[in-house]
Amino acid sequence: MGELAAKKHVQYILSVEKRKDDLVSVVMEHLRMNGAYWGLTTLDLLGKLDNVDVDKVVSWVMECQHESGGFGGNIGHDPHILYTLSAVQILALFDKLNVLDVDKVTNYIAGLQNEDGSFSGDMWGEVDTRFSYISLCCLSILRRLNKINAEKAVNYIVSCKNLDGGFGSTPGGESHAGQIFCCVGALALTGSLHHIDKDLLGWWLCERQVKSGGLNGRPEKLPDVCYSWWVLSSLIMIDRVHWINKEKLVQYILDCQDTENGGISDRPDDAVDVYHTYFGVAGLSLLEYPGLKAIDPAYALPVDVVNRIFFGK
Amino acid sequence: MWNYRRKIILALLESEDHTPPVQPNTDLLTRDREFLLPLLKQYPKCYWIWNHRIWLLEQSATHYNNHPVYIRSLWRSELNLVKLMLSRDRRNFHGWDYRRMIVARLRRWEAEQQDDTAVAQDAKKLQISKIPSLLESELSYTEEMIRADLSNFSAWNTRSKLIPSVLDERAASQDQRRAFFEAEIAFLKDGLMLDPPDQSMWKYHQYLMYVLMTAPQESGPASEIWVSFTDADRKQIFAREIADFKELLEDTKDCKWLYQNLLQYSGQYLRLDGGTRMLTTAEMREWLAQLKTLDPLRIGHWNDLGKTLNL
Repeated sequence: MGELAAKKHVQYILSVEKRKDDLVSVVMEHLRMNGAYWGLTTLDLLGKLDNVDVDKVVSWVMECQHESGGFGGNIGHDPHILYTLSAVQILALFDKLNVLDVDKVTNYIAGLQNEDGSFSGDMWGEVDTRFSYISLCCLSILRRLNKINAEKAVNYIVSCKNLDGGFGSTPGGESHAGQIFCCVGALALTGSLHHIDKDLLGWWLCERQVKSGGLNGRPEKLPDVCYSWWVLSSLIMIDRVHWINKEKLVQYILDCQDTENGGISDRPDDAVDVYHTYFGVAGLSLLEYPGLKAIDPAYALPVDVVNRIFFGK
Repeated sequence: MWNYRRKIILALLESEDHTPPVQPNTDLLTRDREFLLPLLKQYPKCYWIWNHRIWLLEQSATHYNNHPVYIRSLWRSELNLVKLMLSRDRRNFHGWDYRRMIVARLRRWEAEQQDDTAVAQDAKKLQISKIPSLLESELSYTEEMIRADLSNFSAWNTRSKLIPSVLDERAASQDQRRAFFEAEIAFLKDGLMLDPPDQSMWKYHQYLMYVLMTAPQESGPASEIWVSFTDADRKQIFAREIADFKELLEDTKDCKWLYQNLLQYSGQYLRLDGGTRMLTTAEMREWLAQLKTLDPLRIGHWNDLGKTLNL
């Protein structure tokens, strides 16, 4: 059985950060904030966050903040809730939440809640349960859940539940593992997991494991390392992680590594990227792979960071 | 970038005529929709493109709000676009979600029109007799998609969401609901006999039977197909499905879904009739053993299922 090429992955992530002018950076430019969160969280899980210039990252993050309180994907870009969560998570990683004007960020998020409890992604109004999770997670980290109507937010998520136990993007939407993570995470953060039929959803989720050991996102689809996060964290939150074969999943993730140049891809032998490197390492962390810090399945942040936020440890 | 585009469009719209275009392609909003079409074909899973398209439609609804007939035909014609997109990828959930959004809006307008005035109501009645209901045509569309590809879970899922509304719209009695339920089971079972290993259909069977797993009620939430069954009804239907699946077992030895559904329905049946001779613990143990052999990846799940069923 292969091992996690931890050193190579650290090198890979640090190299992506430096390579600002190549094609990947151009494609990623508009979601650099997400990329930074994926890369930095991976480094932290690998115990190497001290390789990063904290002040430089924090000042860049703050330059991406818009006057509305939301954050853009890069400097000068329009704010979106997707990047706002990543920004808050990055600051949490570095224990720098104190640089934030918490009320300003809170007002931005609270302003995106709709009458039916759902959340829009930005001022243009797209609605999706992804944004419900993001809002609740962000406000929970900032300890401002009381600034929105959490009950309505929960009711909206419950209205997206399907009879296979899963959740979709909007009421009636097909169950999808990414969407399920968002809804289960949001319910976990608000202490509302009793709305879930754990056996039914657990069954759907454990059926995502395919012969190779990897997980897919919907029935009859190919496996992808990113579902090692979406599916696995959901199974953990509903206490059904023993329903899949963990050893085979570990092996699948390790098979997706580029052992020469570092990084993890969606499937074995594909091209690596930061997104899949993060989800692979985070998945291994959930599987208690030796040498990795533990990650919290609902906050998607290292457990010690979450403890620091809530217990001041 | 999309946001810039939207800001520009909003600015340009201010000088656009509020009369719907006589010639197609002459107004800004139509041109932008046409601009999107090849992009959608090339990147059918891009959230931003779908999102921009629904935004354009919303703008049309606002900009031409004095011309409801135009707006509605515009929105309705979007169903053809979705049909095209779904014929290229039957499982594209963006396409299915978009379709549901269009249908929901068209239905809201229909309802508003109904509430308007008595005159409009008369017109509406006439219209109903001429134009088939949107819900009914959506239900037929899912059937068409399913007949083309039995394992299209997206189509089954949409169907499951449509049925309760269709039955409400038909003002179906409990007897009619029962008939619908039975017909749906029969439709599904035809498919299952053709292609037993397909998991979409087993899921859908579970979905239908889930209705019977709750206690009988006089009336229930609108999301249910059928509620006023008796314990005798439940027993009879579970027994029939178990018997049918046992028969299927004779030719299909290696389908884990079959064993799983058998076990689950057996558990339900035993709750209704503990002293039955229809099922033996020995055969249920055998099914469980088959599941463990066929699907060792999920051994933890099967162990828990065995515990739940006291096997």
